[in-house]
Amino acid sequence: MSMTPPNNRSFLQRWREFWFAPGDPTTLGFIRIATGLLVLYTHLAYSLDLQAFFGRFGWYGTEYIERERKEFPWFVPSFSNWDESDDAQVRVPDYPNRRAAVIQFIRNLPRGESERRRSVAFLGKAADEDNPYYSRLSLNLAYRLYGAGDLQRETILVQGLAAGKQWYMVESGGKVEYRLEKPEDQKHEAIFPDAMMATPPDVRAALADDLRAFVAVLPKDSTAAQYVIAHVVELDQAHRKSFVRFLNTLPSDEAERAKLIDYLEYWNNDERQMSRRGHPIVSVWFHVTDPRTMAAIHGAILVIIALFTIGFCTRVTSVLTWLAVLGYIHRTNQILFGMDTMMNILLIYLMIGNSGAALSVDRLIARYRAARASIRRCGAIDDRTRAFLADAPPTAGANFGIRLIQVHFCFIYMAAGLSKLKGAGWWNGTAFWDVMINPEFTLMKYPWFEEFVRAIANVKPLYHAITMFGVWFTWGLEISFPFLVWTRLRPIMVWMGVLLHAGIGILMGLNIFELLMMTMLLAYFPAGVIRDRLRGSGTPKIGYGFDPNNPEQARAAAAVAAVDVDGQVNFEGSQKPQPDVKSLFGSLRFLGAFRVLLWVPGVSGFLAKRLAPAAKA
Amino acid sequence: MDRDATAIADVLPPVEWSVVQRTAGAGSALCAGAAVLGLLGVPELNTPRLFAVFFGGIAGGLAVSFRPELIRAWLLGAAVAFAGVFGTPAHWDSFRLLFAVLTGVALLRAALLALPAAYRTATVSVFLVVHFFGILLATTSPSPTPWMVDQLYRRAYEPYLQFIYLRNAYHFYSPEPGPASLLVCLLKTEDGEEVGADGIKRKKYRTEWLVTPRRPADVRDPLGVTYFRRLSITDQIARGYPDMMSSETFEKSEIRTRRMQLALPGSNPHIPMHTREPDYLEYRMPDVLAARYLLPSYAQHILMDLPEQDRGRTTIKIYRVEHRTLDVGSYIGISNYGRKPGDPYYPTTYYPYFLGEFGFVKDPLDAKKVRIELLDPQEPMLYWLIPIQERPGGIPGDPKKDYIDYLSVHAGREFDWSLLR
Repeated sequence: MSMTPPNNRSFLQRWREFWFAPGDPTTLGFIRIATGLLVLYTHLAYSLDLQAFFGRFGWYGTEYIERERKEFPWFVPSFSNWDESDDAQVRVPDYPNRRAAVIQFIRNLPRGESERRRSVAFLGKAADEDNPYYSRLSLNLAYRLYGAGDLQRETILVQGLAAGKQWYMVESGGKVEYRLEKPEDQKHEAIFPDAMMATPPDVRAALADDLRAFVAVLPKDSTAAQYVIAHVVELDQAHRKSFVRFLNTLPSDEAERAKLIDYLEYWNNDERQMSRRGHPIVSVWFHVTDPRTMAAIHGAILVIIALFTIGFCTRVTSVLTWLAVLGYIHRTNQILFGMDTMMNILLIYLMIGNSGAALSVDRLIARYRAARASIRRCGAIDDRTRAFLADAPPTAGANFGIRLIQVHFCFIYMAAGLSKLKGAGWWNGTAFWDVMINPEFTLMKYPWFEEFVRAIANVKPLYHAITMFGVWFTWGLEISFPFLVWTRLRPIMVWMGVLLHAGIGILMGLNIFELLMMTMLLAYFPAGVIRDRLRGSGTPKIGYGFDPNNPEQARAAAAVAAVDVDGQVNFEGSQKPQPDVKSLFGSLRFLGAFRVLLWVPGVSGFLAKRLAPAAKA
Repeated sequence: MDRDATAIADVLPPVEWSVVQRTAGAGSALCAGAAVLGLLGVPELNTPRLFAVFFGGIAGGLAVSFRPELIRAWLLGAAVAFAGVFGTPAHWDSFRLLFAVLTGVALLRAALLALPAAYRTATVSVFLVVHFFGILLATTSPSPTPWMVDQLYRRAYEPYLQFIYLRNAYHFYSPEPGPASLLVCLLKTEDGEEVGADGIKRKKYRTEWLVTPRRPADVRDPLGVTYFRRLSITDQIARGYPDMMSSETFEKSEIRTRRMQLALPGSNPHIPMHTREPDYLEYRMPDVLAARYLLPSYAQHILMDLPEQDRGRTTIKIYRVEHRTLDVGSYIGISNYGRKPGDPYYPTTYYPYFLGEFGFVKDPLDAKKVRIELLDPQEPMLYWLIPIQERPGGIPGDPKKDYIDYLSVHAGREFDWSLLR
């Protein structure tokens, strides 16, 4: 993973080197531990809210997520057709009372197709009009006639529309009257649009029939009828057509029809028009709602995350951890914030990159197996094995995982930076102020912080300097990072990133989110830096005598070689003494971290058998 | 990427192929056994089938992890996953999907390993480009979006990115940071009857205010994750749009008329328009999905938390209370009356929007069922901002309060503002 490949390489060579060259797995292993700890913490915190977040009657109840994941409507507009009116979906009103009225109207329409088509033929004609204004006039006419009452409506239709004579609506004393004669002395309104009256008699007669049939299926309740007509009036022509198409094509099968209308009521869409339905998502919490079973599964998941963190069977536990985390994410999107996104990104790439190749139990096991194989081969730890034990061998997987994190991080920063440029607050500095004093996030609940901010804000130039620097630093870093992090400025960019996230963490309290962002920044650290920090220096050397022909001692020597991560042990022949288990725990840096285990009754004897059998003898 | 295994094989002996076979065989047997049990159609066997599939899947995974550099290991893994599709009970449909995806991944990986190195590199490179192009599309997916992005995103990427949850656009705090929202609810439980001063019997109610999230009550873990998760819950219903710019449509004109009637002097209750917010911004209908699904679900959650006997006779009024930050002038006091420094928690900094009163009602389609519904969709204040404002004249006249709290007026119960601190 050299940062500056020779300039004479082709793009393809550089590409291959960038993505596929073997890399030191230490960085990825370290990221795994950091991520695992944060994931473990986050999910331990879920233990307190398991029912509230994922239970049957959680904030987002099971029945709601079940419908969503199975039914959510997805529609893709036409790819090649310029006429977007063809993409118009059937719509019912968003306002609950209006929606109820329109849905009831649809439910009450005649079951038989021909009868139903007859009932809504008037709507169909209005929707097919070339002139939308005329369409609206026609539909308003339906409402006026509805209000006229059965007897008067019939008179108006027969003597007016069918006979080609205009009728007038007059408001008198708070009442509406319908008259055949034009009332010159009163404010009046013609009932039939002029264009309608200009049509031939047979067309008018047919229209009168259509109107009669339509008014007959309108709700008896006048408010509900008003909602139905207002809905059709307020739709644009394309949606009006779609609405009529839906009514005309309702299935005659009762169950199918009810299902379709139910879908329309719930999702405001015609399920037959959808390109797909539901979400391709996975979660154990869709299927388990019993509190005790949930607690047991949650406990098992915590164990899996812990195993992943220590790097045990990492190829399997990394997949299980990711799937488990994904399960919580998919179950209740409503509780998520940026932290979950970052956690997921890290887990995906740690899974792809085989993050258990270093700093893991898997590595300890591999060390043990390599040492055992070497002792079997030649009765000692040979040079090739020593090299393997000294450093985890570079792998293409490790480099690939690191690169994925690095590149994805650049996308995150670029999007975060560029999107801020849309807001005036990120130009004039008020965005920084709003973030700094947001009471729900910041330390504002502490009076000292409130006063501290006030003290700063009281000095006008200081306030402006800080807010200006704050916004410039934020989006300046976010936008420049994806370019400059690949140059020799990488250390500066990375540390500025750490500074930004530490600042946000302290100011806004989003600790885990910021820690995860910093964990992602670790991907830019050279593996050597992490390895050197973890490796002990000046650690004492100890001798370890063993008989390679004695299976018990050979196994113990391999085990000691496995835990001797700092290369402190000189393996010698059986004539040399073997340190006892306490000395091993006292001398070997790695074992020293677990010295407390020796206090547990029985453990010391158990370990003595496996690590220092000769000393015991 | 596990060609590395072959490079170190001379130091670290690879796991015997027979071990891989046995492990994968056990996995296949468990998953296939679960599938066979499924054919019996006995619901009681579903739990054993789930256990079999789970452990079978893990065995398959372990088998692959022993020798990930071998094509045949991946093929065995694919076989286990494929058996898992049929072994999983039908009602665990999301896990059937998972096993299908795992089968595809294993086959893809086997195919990759079968390719010569150069082709393998090329194929992985294509995957990389496709993957990061999807990430790019996700970052550009919030409106305004280019038409092509929308098409590609919906047609090609949405299922993939949704499955792996990489749909975030990463537009953090943009275009503006915006205020946080709190969920304030009034629970009203029918509690017998009482005789009023006029001698008429009336229903008696117990009431209780609930605020989510609260600090420190909801900070249940040292780093406050539990608190921020609840803040996300309230943020979900904050998405909406001020939609009274034009009131030409019938419903909007109705909404406006209803609201204006309450603002008229002498109306009961009298709730004037907010003095610091333009009228057209005072109506904020939540995002349709939030209004139709989230709010009833939130209401259900709160109601189901009550003792069983109270659930059916309790209704819940929900308010989303936006907590606006002070501008610098108000914060330091330079633009305040008497130049008094502003209190960031002062009641007038809160902007409550009424989101409706919810309760259990009989399902109109099935009389045996009940469901949570918005009780009065034509409540005059529905989705309107309720003013909390300084007293007219701006001079504190009431020794107790120097603001008028119409939230309490609307709710019919005095709100305890200390709950918001």
